[in-house]
Amino acid sequence: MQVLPSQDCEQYVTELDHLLSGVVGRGPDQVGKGREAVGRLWPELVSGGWLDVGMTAAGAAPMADMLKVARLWGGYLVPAPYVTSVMARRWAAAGDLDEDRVYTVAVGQGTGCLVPFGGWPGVRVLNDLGATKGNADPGSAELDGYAPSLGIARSPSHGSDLSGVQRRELAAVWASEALGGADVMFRECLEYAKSRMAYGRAIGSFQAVAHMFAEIHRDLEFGQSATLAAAAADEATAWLAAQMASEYAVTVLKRLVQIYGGIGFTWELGLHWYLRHAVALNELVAFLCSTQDSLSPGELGA
Amino acid sequence: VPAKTFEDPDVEIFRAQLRDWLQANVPKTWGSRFELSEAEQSRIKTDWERTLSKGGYAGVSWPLEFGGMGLGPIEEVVFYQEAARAHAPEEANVIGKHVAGPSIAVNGTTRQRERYLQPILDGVEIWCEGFSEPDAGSDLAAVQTTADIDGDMLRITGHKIWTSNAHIADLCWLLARTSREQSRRHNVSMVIVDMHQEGVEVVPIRDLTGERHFNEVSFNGAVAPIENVVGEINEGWQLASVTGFRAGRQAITGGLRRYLFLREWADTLVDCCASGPGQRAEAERLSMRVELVSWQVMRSAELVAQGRNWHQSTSVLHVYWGELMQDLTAFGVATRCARHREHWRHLDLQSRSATIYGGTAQIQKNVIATRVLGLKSPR
Repeated sequence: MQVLPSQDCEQYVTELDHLLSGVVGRGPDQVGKGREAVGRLWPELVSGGWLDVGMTAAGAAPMADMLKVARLWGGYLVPAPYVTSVMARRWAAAGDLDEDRVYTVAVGQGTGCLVPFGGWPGVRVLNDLGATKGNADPGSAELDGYAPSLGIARSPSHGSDLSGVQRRELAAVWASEALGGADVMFRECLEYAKSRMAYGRAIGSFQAVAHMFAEIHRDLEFGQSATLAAAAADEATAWLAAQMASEYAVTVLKRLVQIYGGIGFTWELGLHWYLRHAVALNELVAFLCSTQDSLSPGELGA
Repeated sequence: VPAKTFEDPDVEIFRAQLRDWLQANVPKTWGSRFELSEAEQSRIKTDWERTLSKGGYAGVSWPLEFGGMGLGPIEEVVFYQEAARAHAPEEANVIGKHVAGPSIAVNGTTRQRERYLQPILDGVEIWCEGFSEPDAGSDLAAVQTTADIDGDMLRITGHKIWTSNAHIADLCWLLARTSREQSRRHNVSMVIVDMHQEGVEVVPIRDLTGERHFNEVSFNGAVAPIENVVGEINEGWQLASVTGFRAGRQAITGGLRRYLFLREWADTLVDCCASGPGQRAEAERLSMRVELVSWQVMRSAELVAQGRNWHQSTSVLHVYWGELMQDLTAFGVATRCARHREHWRHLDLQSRSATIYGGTAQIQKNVIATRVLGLKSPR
């Protein structure tokens, strides 16, 4: 498979980054702003064709491009079903989807599932793509407040009936999204460690801290490689790769809390939103990867 | 012209042809090497170098003018991926092929290129690397071995230690001080030294596994013609840090060489040693970590091929595979596999070196923190 994103992707991701940073902004306090800004951002994403980046003149865009897009999106924690909508359009045959609709995925194949952005007005749950069976409403859903940036609903309805390839691709992009958030916090934390003084020195100059940064950088790099392995065609290893990629994101974020110290443990910094986002995505990836037919009441948090 | 990628048709053709060639040429004896002595394994590896040479695969990314295949980092990655898949032997002449040769190709004189490069590819001259000293391990600029200029000769005096393969080497890629006045990092030179001469004494060092593959080397009156200095005199530290046309690729090649045997180790764990769901799950995770080495070098190789910044992705390879080797072999011991018990116990001990040689894991992390992430030098 293609390893690096295409040149087209590199270009439009720069433009998308510009759009997101202009509307949402950067920094650990952007989560609140993201919620405020989403009403302004979404129409721009739709009108600017940003929901269609998964489609090219030659067909579906390469997964390396999708991983790049999800990684960027993950750095902004915008609470909107962008990644699932992009993937839905990428998977769908022409005419299978209503262009004006917003799509999400219900994870779990039996009677009970998790639905990111299940409470989004008018959101449709993908089902039977290509079989023209239509796409279901999420039904009655109870919002999970753990990670508001994902708006996960618990739904008693059936999960999306995606193909194995679609499930694997979704696991890969969700893992990449989690790593995108971890990467943004890593860059923030790096700057913090260069300026935060302790005992008369920048904390980043202490070897113990410097080595943590080196290890985090290693984990982010290999997490990125794991998303590639997850998106590759080798079904035997792809699931495990996706799981490990999203685990790398969670591990990185927990270590960043440690480097930030007390401030990292505070609500105000906002680091916890990235951690919650990654933990929740890690759960979704785990559910996608699992072979079980339905989620148990315990797994649904009932 | 777009940079080459792993999807290019000619790369796929290269892979297919290589796969066929490996299937026909990988020695069957290598598969049962657990039962062979160190000397027998060493002979298989040396023979493999010559087999690669005959097949034209000895220098995949070496330039055509120096006897290589003239291909790039993408094909080099493919070579190791397929060699790992075929469970091919490791290389015997790592220093010659991956350190000295590439540097001579770029920095050497015409005479040096003509004299030294072809024998490296032919597998007929084995090289060792004379860098580490008792008081200069990871800190190469601190070497004390001297190469004093005496007419058109250099007289070499000093001790090198932990010198792998010095006991079988024909030539040494030696870092020695050639100035007592110049500042640190501008007072050492890279010299090619004939190991078969009076004044060179090689004393094997027994490592903690009981093997004797590395050595202490004493230079006491050994000589080398001054024309054996590679690059500028007193600028050897630069050559020790960067290796010619492979600048940026050395870390990739290092990762690939480890992938070659890590893949086989992981296959052994999954196929034989791990029993029960818990052990199998752990073996599969370790196997995936091995596969991530391959993905990481693929990403790095495409970045190199495109001339883009590859430091971020290559800098973490050594730290990653070093720790992986230790985790994987420790788990091998923990499986208590009767068939591979001695194998894993040996490798578990041997892998202690994986976070020491080539710059300790701690030094590697310092380098990442300062040169890649821009933190101040740790104390």
